[in-house]
Amino acid sequence: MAVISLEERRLKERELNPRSSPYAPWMHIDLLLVLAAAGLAAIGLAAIYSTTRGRDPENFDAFFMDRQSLFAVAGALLMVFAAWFPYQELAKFAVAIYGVGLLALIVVLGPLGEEVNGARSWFRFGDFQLQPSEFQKLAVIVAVAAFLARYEEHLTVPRVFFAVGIVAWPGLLVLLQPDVGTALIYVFIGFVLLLIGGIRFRQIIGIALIVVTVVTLMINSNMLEDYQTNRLRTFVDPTTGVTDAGFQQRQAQIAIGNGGLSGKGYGEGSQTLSGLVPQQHTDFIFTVIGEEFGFVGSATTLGLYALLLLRILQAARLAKDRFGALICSGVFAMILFQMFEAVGMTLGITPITGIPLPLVSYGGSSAIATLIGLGLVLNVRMRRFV
Amino acid sequence: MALVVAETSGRRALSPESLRLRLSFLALLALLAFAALVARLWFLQVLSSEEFEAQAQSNTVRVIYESAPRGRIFDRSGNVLVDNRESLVVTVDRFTFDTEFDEGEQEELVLRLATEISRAGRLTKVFEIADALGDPRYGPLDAVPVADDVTENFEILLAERADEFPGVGTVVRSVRTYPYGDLAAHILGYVSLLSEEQYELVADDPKTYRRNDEIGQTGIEASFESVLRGTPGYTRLEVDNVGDPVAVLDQVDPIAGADVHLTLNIDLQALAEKELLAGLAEARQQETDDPNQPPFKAPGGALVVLDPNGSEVLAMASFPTYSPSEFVSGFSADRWAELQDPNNHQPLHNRALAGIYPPGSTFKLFTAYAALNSGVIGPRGVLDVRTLYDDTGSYVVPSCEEELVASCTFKNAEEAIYGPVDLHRAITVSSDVYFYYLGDTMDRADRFDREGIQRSARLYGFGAPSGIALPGEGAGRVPSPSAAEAAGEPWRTGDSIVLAIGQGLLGSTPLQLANGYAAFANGGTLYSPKMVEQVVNPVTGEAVQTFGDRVLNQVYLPPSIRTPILEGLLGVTAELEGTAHSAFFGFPLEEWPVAGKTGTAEVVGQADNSLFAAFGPNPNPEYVVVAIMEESGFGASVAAPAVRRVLEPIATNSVPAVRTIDDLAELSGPIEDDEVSEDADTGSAA
Repeated sequence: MAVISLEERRLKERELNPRSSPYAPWMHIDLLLVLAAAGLAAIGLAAIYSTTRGRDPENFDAFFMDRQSLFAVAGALLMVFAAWFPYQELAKFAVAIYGVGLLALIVVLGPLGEEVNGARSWFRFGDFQLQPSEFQKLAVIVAVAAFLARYEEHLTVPRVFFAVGIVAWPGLLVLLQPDVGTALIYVFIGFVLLLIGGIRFRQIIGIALIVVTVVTLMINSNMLEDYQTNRLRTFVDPTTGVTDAGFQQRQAQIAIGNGGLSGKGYGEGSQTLSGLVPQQHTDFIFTVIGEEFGFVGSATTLGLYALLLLRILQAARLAKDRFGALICSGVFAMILFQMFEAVGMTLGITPITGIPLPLVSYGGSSAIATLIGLGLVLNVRMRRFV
Repeated sequence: MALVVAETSGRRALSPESLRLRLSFLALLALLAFAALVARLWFLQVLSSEEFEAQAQSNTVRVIYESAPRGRIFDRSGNVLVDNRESLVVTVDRFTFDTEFDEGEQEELVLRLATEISRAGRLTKVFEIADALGDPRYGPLDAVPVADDVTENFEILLAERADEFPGVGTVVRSVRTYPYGDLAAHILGYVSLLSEEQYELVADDPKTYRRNDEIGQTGIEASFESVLRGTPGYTRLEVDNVGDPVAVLDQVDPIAGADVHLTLNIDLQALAEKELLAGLAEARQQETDDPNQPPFKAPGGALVVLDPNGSEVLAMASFPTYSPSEFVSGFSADRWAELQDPNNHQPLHNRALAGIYPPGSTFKLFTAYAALNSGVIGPRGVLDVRTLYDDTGSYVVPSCEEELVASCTFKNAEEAIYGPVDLHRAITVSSDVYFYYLGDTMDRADRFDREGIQRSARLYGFGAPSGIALPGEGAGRVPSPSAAEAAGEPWRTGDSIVLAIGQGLLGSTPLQLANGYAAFANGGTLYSPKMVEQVVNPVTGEAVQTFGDRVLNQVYLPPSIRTPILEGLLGVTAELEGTAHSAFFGFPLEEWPVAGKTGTAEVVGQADNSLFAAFGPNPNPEYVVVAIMEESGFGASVAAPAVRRVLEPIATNSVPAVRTIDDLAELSGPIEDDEVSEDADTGSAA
């Protein structure tokens, strides 16, 4: 009779128990996270249809909704792929992925890129447009996570600067498009990754001082486009609202306030019907939810985001290694910041920037990138025993 | 030791507790973000939702459109044929009307409005206003025009008593005005409100159309719509709940449409229209020889004047005609039905380019060309140019089999017998028998695959649209064995024989016929008829677009072919036995030789169509004139005199200059359109 040590027996039990077997990662898929994402995508499709279907009940136009459904399906497939590929292997490809993304951000500034609404951010493939800055967010997360995961201790100043550099290059390229909103996402992702990666408090203060100085200089220089300074100025003082930005912000707030407690009903929002809120199916999609589903619908939507973010944070806490924890924190930062900004600007508490509401706004690149990010989170969580 | 401790504490590994702490910090951050968003949502949607609801209800962006003036249309000497004038229009704001009044009050307001507008000098009926207010083309926030050409008295009244007429306002609208009245109506065309189908078609046009906009419907107004239409301007205003503007969002100024300069000569056009009308009136005076024959109804016709060197259209008359100014304020469905009714001979139909008529004997030019060009007439042909052929009054098809030929005997019109005829005399006296013989011969010759005449006709533009820049042009018909076969009908020798004299299924528009003659007159170049010289920027006066000559075809026409035919055509007017000799009696033919050809085309069950085609002065013609008059009898007796009366002022350089209606009004006070045209009638009859 063989004597089995306690340690060996525990290992054996773990393997035999399907709930903790490292060989059955799909047993640990986070269904709550998937459900929250699906719920948000469904709300998004309904809102997109409401604002883009037109006013002719005989002849509703499902073009945008159909396309967004297509993006959601494509994104879901890529999410499964991102979850299936063992994430630890990803560190090996981090440099390659980051390099390709950086190259795309350089090329998009050239003649191959397409300019929409004053920003040269897109590649065009037939009927579809691809926004490389959306995907580069993920590449930055993976690259910074791979770099920071190498060190088990607090960060030294050179390492902090190296990590900041990984974020800064794509960030500056995005700023050149110019797309300030997306560049700000990079800043926040970088901050969160450094925080989880072990930055010291005094280092944070130092970086904050540098950032404030640079931003102040930027606003006062000519680097920002007129419409962007307008947006910022309008945010500071909305009553100067002769400009389009002031109009947009005011219309957005009227739409949301008009929703009241329970909303005007689906397809009944007067602001939505009259098309008074510009870019309502993309960046201002939350105004549709606010007007037609009211406080109840808005709060439910925010609740789904809260659930989603909570599950991501838990995945970070449960992660087997620092690399996994950092990836989850990066995705958390990305979604939290975009959600706060895209909802906040419709409520008038943040300045207007061109940031889509993750999973809800119309737009293929954003939806697909977000779903891939969630796939990575699922990946980290379900391989926590491996 | 202390140093070592300091160093290890500096590189201390992060504890799991530290990671958990830092993640908790993230959670706190998220919590704050959510708290901020929910608090703001609560404020907007629960605490101040009433205020925002009120704002949403009154929240409108009002777009004020400013229509751009439409381009004008000029004749070749720069006379304005179509201009714009301002019309004062009364509008009713539909939103105010629908929301602030109950049904009784609405009726009462409409009645008061009709009363006051009429009292101010513009008669307006209650139902006209009510109908306009119900027009589905206007949206619930639009100001609906209910009466136009209102006098200024009403505007003054409205200014003084505005509170009695809530939502009622006036706007100035630019409308079309026609200084020459109905002259050239078919060429100019008219504008009227967009139909629903047209709105769909122009929905994406850069010169944004709105549902209550006007669009060119026919003529130059339609074919040059994209040029004539101006680009409307607009001001987008954000307005508050009482309708006062809060802010100007953006503003775009209107851009006037471009002017179109035609090749038309308005004096010649007036002459052409007058003589066409007079010719038709004369035709109706004729008595039929035989009471069983159909009467000369002369319901319509066309008269075309071209410059053969480039086929510029100098005049193009079509009768019956209409008044484009009728469309300015819109008209009743009854009037529209009247204009469409076939019993009224479709006044909107431009016969000059859409009417398809058998050309009759005027077509003999092209048969003669086919015979000369192919050598059927020539030293080695069946006849030489001077060879005399005995016209016995009828042509009997040799070795005739009725089935294959349709008929074995073909007679001259009026059973005339001309005796010995050569090509010259055959044209001059219009011997059908001579041409029957040519038709039969060409039909039998294998090398023509029975299409010798058809090929000649197509060279001169028959059977295909000429490409003039006007809508609705007809293509005409050139019958052929292949077409007959496709239709399942046999092609018989008889078809070729009647084709030789321009009868049978052959059909051409008056414009095509004139253009074919123009090609012959200028020595063989078939041009696409030119209606527009240039498009001009109304502000700078610079030509935006200039139209050159467009050559459709170069016909092989050496003197050996052209001269014999031309001599025959000159004989028609100059020689004693020429068919148009009496019509041109007293015409200064020595100084201004006219070549011409009469045509009397048979139409089953109706009186003959009367045709005449002519060009001059020879040998270097500058004018081609073609007249076609429906159910009017002989070409020699009706169409030829009308053409002569057009050519004579041209030859003697005495085309009367027409004054515009506006000029006449200045000379003798206001004059009704009708009086002007009546003057023209009496003048021509005298």
